[in-house]
Amino acid sequence: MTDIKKEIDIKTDRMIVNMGPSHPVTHGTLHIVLELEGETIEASHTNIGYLHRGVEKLGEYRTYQKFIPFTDRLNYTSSINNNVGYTLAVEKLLGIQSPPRAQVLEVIACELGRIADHIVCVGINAVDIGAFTAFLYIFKYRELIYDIFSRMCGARLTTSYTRIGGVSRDLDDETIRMIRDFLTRFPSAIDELEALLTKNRIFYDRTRGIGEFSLENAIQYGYTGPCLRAAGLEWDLRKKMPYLGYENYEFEVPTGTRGDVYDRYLVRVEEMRQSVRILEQAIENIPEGPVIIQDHKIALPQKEDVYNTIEGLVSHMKLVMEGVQAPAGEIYCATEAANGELGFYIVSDGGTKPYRIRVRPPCFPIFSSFDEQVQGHMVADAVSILGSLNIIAGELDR
Amino acid sequence: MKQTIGLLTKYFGDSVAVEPGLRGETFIKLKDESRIREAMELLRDNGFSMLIDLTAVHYPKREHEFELIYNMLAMEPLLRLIVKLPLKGEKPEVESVSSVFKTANWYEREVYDMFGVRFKNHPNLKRILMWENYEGHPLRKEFPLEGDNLHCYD
Amino acid sequence: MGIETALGNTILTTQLSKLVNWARKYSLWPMPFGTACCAIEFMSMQASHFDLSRFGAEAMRFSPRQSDMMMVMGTVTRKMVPVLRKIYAQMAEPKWVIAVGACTCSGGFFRSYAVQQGIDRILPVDVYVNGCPPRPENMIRGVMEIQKLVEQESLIDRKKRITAFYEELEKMNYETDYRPADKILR
Ligand code: SF4
Repeated sequence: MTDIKKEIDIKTDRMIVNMGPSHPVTHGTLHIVLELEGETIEASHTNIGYLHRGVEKLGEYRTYQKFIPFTDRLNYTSSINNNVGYTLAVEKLLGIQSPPRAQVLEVIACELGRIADHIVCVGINAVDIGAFTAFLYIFKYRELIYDIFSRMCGARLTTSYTRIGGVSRDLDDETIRMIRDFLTRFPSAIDELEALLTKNRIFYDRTRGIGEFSLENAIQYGYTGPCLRAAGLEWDLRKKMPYLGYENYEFEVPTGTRGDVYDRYLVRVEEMRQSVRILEQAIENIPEGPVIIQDHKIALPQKEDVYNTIEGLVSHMKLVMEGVQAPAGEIYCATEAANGELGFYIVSDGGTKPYRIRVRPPCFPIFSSFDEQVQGHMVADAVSILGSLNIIAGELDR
Repeated sequence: MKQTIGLLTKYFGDSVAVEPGLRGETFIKLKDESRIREAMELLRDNGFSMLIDLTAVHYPKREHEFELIYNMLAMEPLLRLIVKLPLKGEKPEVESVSSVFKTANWYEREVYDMFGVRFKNHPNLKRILMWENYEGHPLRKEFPLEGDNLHCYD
Repeated sequence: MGIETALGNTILTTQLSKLVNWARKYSLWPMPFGTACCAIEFMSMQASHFDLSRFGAEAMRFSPRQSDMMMVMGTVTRKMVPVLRKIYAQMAEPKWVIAVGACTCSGGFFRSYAVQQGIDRILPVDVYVNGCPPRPENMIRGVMEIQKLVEQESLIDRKKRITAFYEELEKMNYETDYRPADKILR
């Protein structure tokens, strides 16, 4: 009797499959080791840290303004959201607020960044599943956003748009015209994308029910952003804890029901539509006024003042040489970036440099659940799950 | 928020202290490091269902060299509570909370990697960002920015 | 002269190496080794707007064994160095390397404990592309530089250059007492 039982229990060896660190689906630098039983994933182990650049340590050696370029390189698909998140944190530490015009400009920047991020995520997710066309169609519109960004701040990707107490440049009429133009053209592009993917049988089969994650689990793992919303909770910091005057805009927070890859895709697509709605409201109501706070202890004075008056020159020099003096204390400031809650925890000892700066990246906790999520799925599903989580290595490892 | 603080003082008595934050945050200092798991469980069951962030700060000149920061979030209504846990000594050890919050698993590995704070009963306490057998803990204050990266020097 | 005069315009004489180089020039198969932000710009370069395929280098191969041009884009951390070396070793000769972006060329502004300060300390780099990130046009220029190099340099010259590079690297490491990162790792 026992002998027969033994025979049934015989198993083949598990196969180990290595994905990464340089692998087309890992978009960046992750290392995933999958243990396979046939085609089914029995266990998975993830290694991260291949893009750990020591941003937090570098931040301790930089003044508050000089950290802004580093925030560009955190989530590089939507740099501008990180800029806004960081400057909001420093403004909270200093106890100031940017002028109303700057706030609206930041909202515009944030929403454009969110659209750009979702375009990458949705497009790449589709490419991984095998739908290359959708990527090429939708990526054209990302190029339009880049054009707007390069007019807004002079760079396509690494924007560094915001400053402490405002934004670096004003919007000119041409940029506003470009944004309007984008807003008229983009909704039809989303329709196009949906026509290609949403009811596509292959896409549906490859994503429905894959990577289902219950709400309790999601909360346990600290999910935020689209992935949490796809699991069925209406949780958006823009609604729950409005910053930058988000309470003045009308928009809805889309949610999913099952928390699988398909739901995440739907949530992202719907969020792009809502972002367009916010942008339409924001672009019509840009108030007049300065775009940066007029306190020369915090923001650089106008160039004319620097060249023509002694006060301007002195305050410019002091600001460039020393930086902003922050009060001692600790703050935590969170914003809703494209991926979820992006938080900055700043410990200040009263100097011009942060004593400790901590970035709370949205995808770090999300990715820690990957091992649990892929269990029992096929290898090909691991790819689509990874794409839907939108893991950006720069932000994951910092 | 008052409720939660009341609850905490009821359970932990003298070992919690409330500190007002600079800009309206609530900081809670827990002086008894052996009871952190208990405190986390209590908070989790009373609405603070999410551990948003877990990190540490190094103060080399203080008696309590490290301060762990547990950043909690209550969803309904939205409340944020930051629990601080000062730790003594060069190589402190503290109870892991990864059985209370699953997300703490990776956060604790990161804190171990960057600061060298060890966590008891952690399922897999290994380095996460730097490679295995790397020497030193980069985010400690005495660690130089360039570390042992010789390429930085020339 | 010679055969050309005898047979008229039907025949063209050239050196074999020139012919091979000319053919090779327009069929570079890049292997994108993208790690960070520059890889996002690379995506733009490849997508519809800038379209790398106009320059005959669009056949992306993610397997190093099938490609002959490695584009290293993004920060290379010290944890990544052994991986990069291994991938370079897996590529079949002849192979070319483009370092795209400030980080890859020199470490960029990440002068910290974790970042490799320029990949030319580990691999022979043929073309450097500046910028943080470089614009897609700039990357395309980098690819065109490689094409020029492929056309002009014979394989024997190339081999000499690479050997000289490795010798210099050895000497430099010996003088500064530098242990390459992957020795630390293993
Ligand atoms: S060069 Fe600049 S854009 Fe490129 S990887 Fe480095 S930081 Fe990112």
